[in-house]
Amino acid sequence: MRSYRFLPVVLLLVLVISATAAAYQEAPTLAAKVAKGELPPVEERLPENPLVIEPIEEVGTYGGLIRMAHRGPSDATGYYRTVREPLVNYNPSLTQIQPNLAERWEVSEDGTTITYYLRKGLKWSDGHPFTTEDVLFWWEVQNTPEIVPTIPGAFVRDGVPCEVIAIDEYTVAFKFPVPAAAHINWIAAGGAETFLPKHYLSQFHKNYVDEETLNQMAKAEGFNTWYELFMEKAGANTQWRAVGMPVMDAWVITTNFDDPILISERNPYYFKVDTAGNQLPYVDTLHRILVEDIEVMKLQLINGQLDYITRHLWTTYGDLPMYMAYQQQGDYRIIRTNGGTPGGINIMFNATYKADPVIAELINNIEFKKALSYAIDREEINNVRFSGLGNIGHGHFHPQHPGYVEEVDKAYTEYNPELANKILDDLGLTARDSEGYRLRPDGQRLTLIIDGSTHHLHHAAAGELIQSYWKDIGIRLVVNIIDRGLWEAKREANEHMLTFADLADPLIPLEQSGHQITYVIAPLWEQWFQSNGAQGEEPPEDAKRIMEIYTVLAPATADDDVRAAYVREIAEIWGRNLWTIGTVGVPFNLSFAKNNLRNIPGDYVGAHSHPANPAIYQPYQWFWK
Amino acid sequence: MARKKIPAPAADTAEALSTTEEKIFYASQWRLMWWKFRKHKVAVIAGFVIALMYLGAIFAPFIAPYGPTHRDRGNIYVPPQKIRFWDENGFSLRPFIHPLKVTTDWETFQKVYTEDTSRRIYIRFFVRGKSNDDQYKLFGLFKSNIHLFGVDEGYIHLFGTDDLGRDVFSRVMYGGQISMSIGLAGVFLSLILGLILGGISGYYGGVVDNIIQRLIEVIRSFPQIPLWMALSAAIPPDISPKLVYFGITIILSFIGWTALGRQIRSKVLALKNEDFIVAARLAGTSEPKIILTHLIPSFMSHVIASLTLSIPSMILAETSLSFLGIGLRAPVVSWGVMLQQAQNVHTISMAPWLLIPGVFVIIYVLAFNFLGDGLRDAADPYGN
Repeated sequence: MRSYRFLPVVLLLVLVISATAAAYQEAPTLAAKVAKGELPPVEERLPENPLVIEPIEEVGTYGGLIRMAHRGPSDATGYYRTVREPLVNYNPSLTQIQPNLAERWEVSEDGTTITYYLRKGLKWSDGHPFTTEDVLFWWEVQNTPEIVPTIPGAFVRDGVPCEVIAIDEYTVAFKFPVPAAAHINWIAAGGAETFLPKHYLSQFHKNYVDEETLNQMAKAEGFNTWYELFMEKAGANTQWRAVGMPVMDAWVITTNFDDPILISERNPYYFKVDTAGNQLPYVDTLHRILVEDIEVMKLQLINGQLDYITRHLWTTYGDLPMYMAYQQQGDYRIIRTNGGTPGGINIMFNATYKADPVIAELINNIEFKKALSYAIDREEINNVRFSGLGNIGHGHFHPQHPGYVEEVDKAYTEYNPELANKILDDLGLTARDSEGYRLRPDGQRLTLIIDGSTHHLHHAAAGELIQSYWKDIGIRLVVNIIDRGLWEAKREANEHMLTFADLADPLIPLEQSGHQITYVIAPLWEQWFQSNGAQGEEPPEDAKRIMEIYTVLAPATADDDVRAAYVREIAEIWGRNLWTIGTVGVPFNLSFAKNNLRNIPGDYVGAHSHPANPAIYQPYQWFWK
Repeated sequence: MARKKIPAPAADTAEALSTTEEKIFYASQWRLMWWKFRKHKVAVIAGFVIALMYLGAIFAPFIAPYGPTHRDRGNIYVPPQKIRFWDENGFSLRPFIHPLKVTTDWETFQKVYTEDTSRRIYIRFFVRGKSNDDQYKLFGLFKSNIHLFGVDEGYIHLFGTDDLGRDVFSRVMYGGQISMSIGLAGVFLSLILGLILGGISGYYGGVVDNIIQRLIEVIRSFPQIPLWMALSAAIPPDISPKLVYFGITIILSFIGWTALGRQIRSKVLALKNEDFIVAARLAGTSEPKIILTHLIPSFMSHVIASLTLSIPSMILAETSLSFLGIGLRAPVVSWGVMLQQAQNVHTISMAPWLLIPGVFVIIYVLAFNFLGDGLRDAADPYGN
């Protein structure tokens, strides 16, 4: 009976195949396409080892659409932060880096090299295999000055770009000239994706096609040069998302960013499954409705016309009573998520102010700044601007950060106008004019000017309050609220005396390059750093130390304890110099989700200020219940 | 048309004229205008309303119980309070309010204000202000802290309070001072410029006309936004926004007169060859007299119409240049600024009383339009 000898083997094979076939399920819409032969079966579309996602609440069901809102092409970041798929990712509570497109990674002993091992069998949304070729092509694009004028700072150390080396089809290494272990935190939290579809985009790139032919192609499509066409096809101005370009995201855009609705449909080749073997995402379609005006977004939210929104409304804490009042009507729940404005309303003194030597001396006098700080009633600001949700303090760092130092954060923040008056008197500013304002040593009325932007609504509101507090201690404050562009230009030109600014941006993520830190508090120090001492003004040792931590020490280590120690040191230096006085900040974002849109993590409030929100909360596993 | 030729009464029909007719016939033009205006009831009422509003604005610091920046700390978004004459305890001749109890509902983050109906707070008249913020100088001369009305205990907020706990009623009063004055200066300046230059251009013609018209073209073709941007960069920021805005309206009127100038030129061109003007000239009337007594009254109705149209747009434009830092903006208190701050969903849904300044703008604008309507009709007393 020779013919039966292989029967057990055959049976086993059949069993294995049917078992794997049963192991993965797909959305009904895709199953229909498979039945018609338009798509290969789900097992062939998934990689060898798909990323298994633990459901946050339960295994979901397929179907439906999620309506969000955005502000058009300039708001492409919002879409990117919803769908991004980096090589590695943070978990929703931001405590741990997890595999994503890369199934594992290694940081070399000396911290200079980060090696990623990609999943085998990953496919672009058009079915083409995803390999290290695509990472190399992305690097090639970063090194094409016509398309990307300068290589993004995160990939450059000491002016030298990193090397990107493909070891084999699935292994790629980023080699930095100096230790840069923290680079991976940046990638995981919200930094760049490091790949582009070579098989699609190389047909528009001059390294692959004759430039003459490309230019003609560009002209035929209404562009002047080949690189304009490339940037259009690659979505270079819309966070590398464009109609027709394959992606690794859970959804693929099918309309343009300036269309009334940006529609994205599910990616049949998406590489994630849930614990029951269902290919993600659950939801078929994403809609991003074009809304120019944030007030209209609020209206749509309370009318129940949006299913999820966080961006643009995430720091509108003052409106919380309204959101609460309309929760029933809008059928949404309010979720607190990472982010927010821990720095909140912050007053920055220009340490290199030049226009008026008397004022320059005063605003560099720590006792003077202490007096200004004691004069502010932070409780009132908290109540009227932040519905009482805020955190009173200078807001150097997030209160939940392991390096947070409460004494530094809360120093000089109690409301004590008598003490403030006494400090000013002790400084010799005793003479007053007929309206009760103090006079400067040269006999003029002591007037400070603070700049704010019309874009940041809380600047004007806080300005009015602070103006009245400082009037009580005899200091006249002029609140100069101007257009955002003008406001930023003035800061860069070292023309501001005081300015409102959000401290969260420069201080929180240690991964960011340090060159945002000093430009607000002292543009001339910034010039000095930028020009390696050729221009500007030499900063004090304290500022140099902060810069050293930001640009050299912190990027070199991914050790959380060491990083926390750096954060503590920065806070102490900052607090000692009172470069800024903080008032109130809110250490979380507001997010809004329809009540029956499930699997959205609950209140996650951690120390990281800039995760890709809501991508970090895994929209691919949200579903309608 | 003014001075239409009316047939002189023949001697034999003189007796046939009734006394009324006689009165009309011999009345001066100004008297006729007044009579005609008086007949326009709505315009008369509108005139009263405007007079009242200006009176209110002049005495704003006295009428307002609190200063415009006085914050009732903690009591933000208080809804308008009702003035009462009676409650469950009976009638009182002296009006009173019930004190407010405030609780914060930490479930909804909302402040809940409930009236304590068991107690009365009587409204007193000619009271002293609560703090230095309420001090004022009437007409910039007389320092005082006496207010028309107020309460001894707590606060009274007739129109409620805003996001910082400031009294909306007081702010509306103070806001009127600015909204009803600064912009008007610009409107009148452009009217005067338009009248004079347009009138000269049309009346004399020739080289003068040519020069003025070319000047108008140059001014009109000047790009305005870069001009404002240059100005906003040149103005030092510690100058009060009020003063800056005043300056800007003046500059605006140096551009704004051109449209009116052209209209007046064409009116004058059409009128100057009319029989009654020619007759006046032949009779040896001096040119200033011709312009003042014959020409100007003839197109007064047109001027009034265009003037009443530009006033509302002036109020609404108060804040339009704020984004460059040269329009009116907080902490200046004006109706436009208050409305701009109220332009959000939160206000409409949770604190609609912050839109009250809008009611005043509507009343003011409507009153001006009715008044203008009456004036326009009256300015042409010989028309039908």
